[in-house]
Amino acid sequence: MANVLRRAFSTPLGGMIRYEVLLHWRQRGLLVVLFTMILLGVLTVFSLSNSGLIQRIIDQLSMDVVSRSQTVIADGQTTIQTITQTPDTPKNPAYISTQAFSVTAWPIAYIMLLILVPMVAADAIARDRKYRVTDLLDSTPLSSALYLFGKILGLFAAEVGLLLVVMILYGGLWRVAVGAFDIPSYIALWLVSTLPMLFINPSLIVLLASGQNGRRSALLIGFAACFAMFFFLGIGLSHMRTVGTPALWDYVNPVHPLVFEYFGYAPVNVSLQSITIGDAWLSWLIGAGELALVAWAAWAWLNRRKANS
Amino acid sequence: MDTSSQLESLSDLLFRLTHDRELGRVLAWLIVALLSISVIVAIAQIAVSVWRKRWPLAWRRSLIALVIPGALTAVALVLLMLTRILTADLNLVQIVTVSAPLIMGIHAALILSLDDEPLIEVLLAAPRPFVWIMAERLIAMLATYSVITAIGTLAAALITGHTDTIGTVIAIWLPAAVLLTGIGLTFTLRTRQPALSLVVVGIVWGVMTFGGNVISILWPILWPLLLFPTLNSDGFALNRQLILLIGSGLILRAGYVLSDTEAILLNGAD
Repeated sequence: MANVLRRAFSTPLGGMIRYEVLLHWRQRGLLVVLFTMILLGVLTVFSLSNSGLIQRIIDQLSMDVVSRSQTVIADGQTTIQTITQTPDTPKNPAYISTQAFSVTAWPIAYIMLLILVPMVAADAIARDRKYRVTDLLDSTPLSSALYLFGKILGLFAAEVGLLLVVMILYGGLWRVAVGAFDIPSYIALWLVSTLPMLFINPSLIVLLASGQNGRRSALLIGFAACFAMFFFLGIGLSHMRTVGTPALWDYVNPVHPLVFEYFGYAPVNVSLQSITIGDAWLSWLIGAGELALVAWAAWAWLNRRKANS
Repeated sequence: MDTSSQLESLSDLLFRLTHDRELGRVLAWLIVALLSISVIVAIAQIAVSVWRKRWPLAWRRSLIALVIPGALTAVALVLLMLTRILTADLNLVQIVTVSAPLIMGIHAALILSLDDEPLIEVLLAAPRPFVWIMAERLIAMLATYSVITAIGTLAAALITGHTDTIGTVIAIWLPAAVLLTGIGLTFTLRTRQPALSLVVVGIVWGVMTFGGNVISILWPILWPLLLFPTLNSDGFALNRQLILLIGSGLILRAGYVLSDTEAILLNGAD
């Protein structure tokens, strides 16, 4: 295993990934994000638990027959309907506890990671230009594609470490404050919902800012992009909670509100339960396509820049 | 007294201290008094130094650099006000007062990144003190964004019909903007990493905006430090004074740090 790793890291791509991971953690930005997630986790889990909200949600999810009043908009008219439904989720208390986590603590952690990590990472490529590393790299056989790929994978590898710590921390806090939960579904929640987001969204912003000459302009673009993401998330959530079924824009929306709604809101909202895991995966697939498009544009730009210099 | 009862009485004492609003008021007044003296002395020193030697100011350069960020800020504020998507619980005036300080703080974190400043050695070797660069950029930034925010506040107030609260609304966003500006500037100069500074400004703003009510319930002693207190609440004026003075103190401290040429040149980022 050690030999395999050594050989992997001795390749150009492996070496880039290794140094990017070290650089991202050494820059202290990810450390500050981690510290924030720790504080947020403690505050969120314990305050939600003390307020009784988590227990109410667990009780709601545990009910055999669920009867809720829902506001329904149809044919331009708003009516209040009473919907009775027998949940098809298993009544395993541990699984219910995980579901309660996904509608209480997880959404806050997701939004914080969605906004903070891209802001910290936005100057990943512009930093190289500032320290004249780009000039050095241009004199090596390293291609632009490999360079961009290494940057994205290096950032993702650094984020995986962050996510791992956040997962363990939040799980531990939930266990202490609320009780036992179903670990496989808990891990699946983070892997399906947050891991793809950490790959796609920060990479998008790094690539969008890759054409900037200085760190400052790259960070301004990062901040503007984060603001835009917050804005698009709001539009997506508002749209789906009004209409109830996803439209084309909800799949294409770069903030993937479908994923957020599926995990963070649909379990306790009957009107959103038309959203399936397939919709979430389709949203990720489209997001990966968007990332590929932006990566291609960044690669073309870098090549043009190299040719002109 | 055994250990557990000692711990219990200690935790009891801590609980009473952290829930004592009057203690918070007294501490706030003390800090305001100390900071006021420091800020007045610092401003007097600046005034004397400016009176002795007036250097030319590069306003045009600083203002040109603000055209695009200023325009984007105006667009962002208009979008937020028009859609009110993320701010459903806030009225139009609150949208402006809450968003503007964040934007100013973010920009302040970026205006003087020493490691990214081109030809910094030449600037440091010039006869004009380096701190004047910070001053002209900061003043241009605060003036530009203050104008945009004031126009936004006025527009929001006219639309909602709450024109009698314009003065109080300015008293809400201006101290918050000065504080976040001071935090952004100080962190960038201290760490030489504007990205880190951005995150810190965002976190402070986020915690205070979305968690302000929670903080005032969990730790009432901290009410003088709330970035966005309830309008006309008890101690509102003291809170605004304290926030403004802390922000001003941080900005003046940043200026003091910039007077050490060797530190600027030699204490580079890793």
